[in-house]
Amino acid sequence: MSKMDEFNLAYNPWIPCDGKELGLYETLVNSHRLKEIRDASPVVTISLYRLAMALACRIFDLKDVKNWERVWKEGRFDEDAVKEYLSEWADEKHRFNLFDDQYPFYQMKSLESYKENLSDVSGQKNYSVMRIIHELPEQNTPLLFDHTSYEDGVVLTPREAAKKVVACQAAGLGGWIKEIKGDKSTPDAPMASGAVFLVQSNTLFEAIMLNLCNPDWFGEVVWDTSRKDSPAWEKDEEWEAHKGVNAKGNIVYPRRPTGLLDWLTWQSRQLLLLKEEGPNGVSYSVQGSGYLLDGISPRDCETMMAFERDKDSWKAVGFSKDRFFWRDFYSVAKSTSSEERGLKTLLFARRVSDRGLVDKPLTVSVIGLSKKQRNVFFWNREDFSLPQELLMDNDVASVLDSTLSMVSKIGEKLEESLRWFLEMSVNPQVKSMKDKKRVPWKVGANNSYSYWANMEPVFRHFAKTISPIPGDDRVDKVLDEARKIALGTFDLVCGDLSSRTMKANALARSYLEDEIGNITKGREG
Amino acid sequence: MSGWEEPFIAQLEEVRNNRGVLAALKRNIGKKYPDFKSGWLVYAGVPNWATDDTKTVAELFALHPQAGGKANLGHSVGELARKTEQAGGSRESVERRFAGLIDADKEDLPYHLRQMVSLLKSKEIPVNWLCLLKDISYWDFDDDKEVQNRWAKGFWLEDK
Repeated sequence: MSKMDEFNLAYNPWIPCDGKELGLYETLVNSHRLKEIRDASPVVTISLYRLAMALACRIFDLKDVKNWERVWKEGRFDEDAVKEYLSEWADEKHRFNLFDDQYPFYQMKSLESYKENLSDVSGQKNYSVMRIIHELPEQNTPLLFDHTSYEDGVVLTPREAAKKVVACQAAGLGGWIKEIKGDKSTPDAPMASGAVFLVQSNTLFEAIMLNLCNPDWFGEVVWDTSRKDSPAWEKDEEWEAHKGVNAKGNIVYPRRPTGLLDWLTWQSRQLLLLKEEGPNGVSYSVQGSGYLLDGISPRDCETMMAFERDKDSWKAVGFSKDRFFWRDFYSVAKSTSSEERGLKTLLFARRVSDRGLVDKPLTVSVIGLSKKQRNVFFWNREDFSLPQELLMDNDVASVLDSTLSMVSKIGEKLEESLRWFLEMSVNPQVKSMKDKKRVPWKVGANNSYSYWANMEPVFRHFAKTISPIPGDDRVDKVLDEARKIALGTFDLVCGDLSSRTMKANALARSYLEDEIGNITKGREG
Repeated sequence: MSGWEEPFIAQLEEVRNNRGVLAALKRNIGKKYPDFKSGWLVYAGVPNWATDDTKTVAELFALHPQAGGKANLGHSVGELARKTEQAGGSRESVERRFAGLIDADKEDLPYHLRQMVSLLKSKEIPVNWLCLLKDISYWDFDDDKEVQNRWAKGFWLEDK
């Protein structure tokens, strides 16, 4: 491989930090002077944070909480330590070269034989590098974000390819993968199934450190401790050792992570960029089934995602096109006092604050996709303030919880009264909520959208300024706003009145007013 | 101009028991230009745009001058529906008439009101004339149909 074909992630600029691009080395050693990593794609952003976290964790052994505290107090990553590590693993062992002859970064060299399939047009389509880019459509999915078609193809520069490879491994979508003979499908990558909560402070250094919490610090160890924990770039290819066949006869690679380093760099698929010789970019890649968690769930390993009960299992909290995320965020945030359900990074932030190591308000950036299987509806990033009071004070969390509950109930009653209004408008014989003539009406559009949209700034302000002082009237003000917004939303939706709908309007609005009154007086509706 | 409604209604209430005046008012029902021969009703102070509305209310008053009306006409018609049902009649027919009333545009409103006031008279249910005058003045003021909405609440919520 010529020099022109190398791309060393340790030193070549590719990570977007504060408007410029840096290699991994510069990113880490300057992290105390940088504000954040931020790519145009939120999915790439969070994947790069995970990579930086893994590298820092490895170099400084931050799985040990004593080391964590020591480095935190130093306020920066020691330049000599970073240099020494990369000297070995990047310079001598070439583990950070994107196109290395033996150990291409985050990829599997043994897939190179698939280059032969590029000789014809159908092969070129099947192995287009578009398949590893979240925002581009696949062959049979609708065009959503970009009008590049499969016929056009794309050519990625090495910088872009590096970002996409990292994002693909960290947040790649599960589904059918048949590029490699015998493979059928692969599961979602760790961050594809829900929203990722990234705690941030003033600098990139602080963000890397605050999110580096080891699940071991919270309870039962789930790792495969029979093998040494190491990040993906330090491992030799070991896919064959884990190869198995499931009940349907499909090839799978079940295993448990060996520890935090392995999990942060989890290889969710076998992958290789099929780069042609010369300075041209990358147009093709090949993918195969990735590692499958064996006997454990993502909730057991993951510290940056929140999970909620879904029948007998736990489902990651995520973005939805039908629901404003602030409702879920505050529901998660107030759970810091309950360790079973709580988001571990927030629990960790609380512990760190308890020890006086953090005394300023934090921001939580929530990043993720809304999808159904491989169809991506949108990706999103939302930032939330996290005052120390909310993080530390159980009483404050309790006030937030009860207020959110009442605001949510008002929203539910609004949706109920809107449904009733529609039913009565269609069937005037329906006279009450309990009328047997009612046909359950599935309201297709989210008619209470306006309520949740208008409540968001009200609630965000409330959460930011929440106070534990008894008798504080801020809760009353929020509920008063909720009442006005709910009734305003009802009037907006039901405002175009005819004689038929006026009856429905009168009854349904009256019901809503009564129910809001019951809720705000602390009674069940 | 505000406050013109009260003096006008006060005039009507003064002639409540004057059968001659009421008869003269009734003769004007349906006429585009009322007969002001006797000068017994003073339209001074009524804005030009409200002349038709005051004429309508005056004629309806003549049909049914009973005192003691409640909040708005919707409440009165709601009471009519209940009394009709109690007497073995059809509540649905009252509802249909009421629906026709609140659906009416301004031009047809006097016709629907005459029918409704006749029914109210038959059951001795009074009308709040001041409220009615104000309401029909704002009947088609904007697209929100605020008056119609209030009448609807008055009619159906009394009954829920």
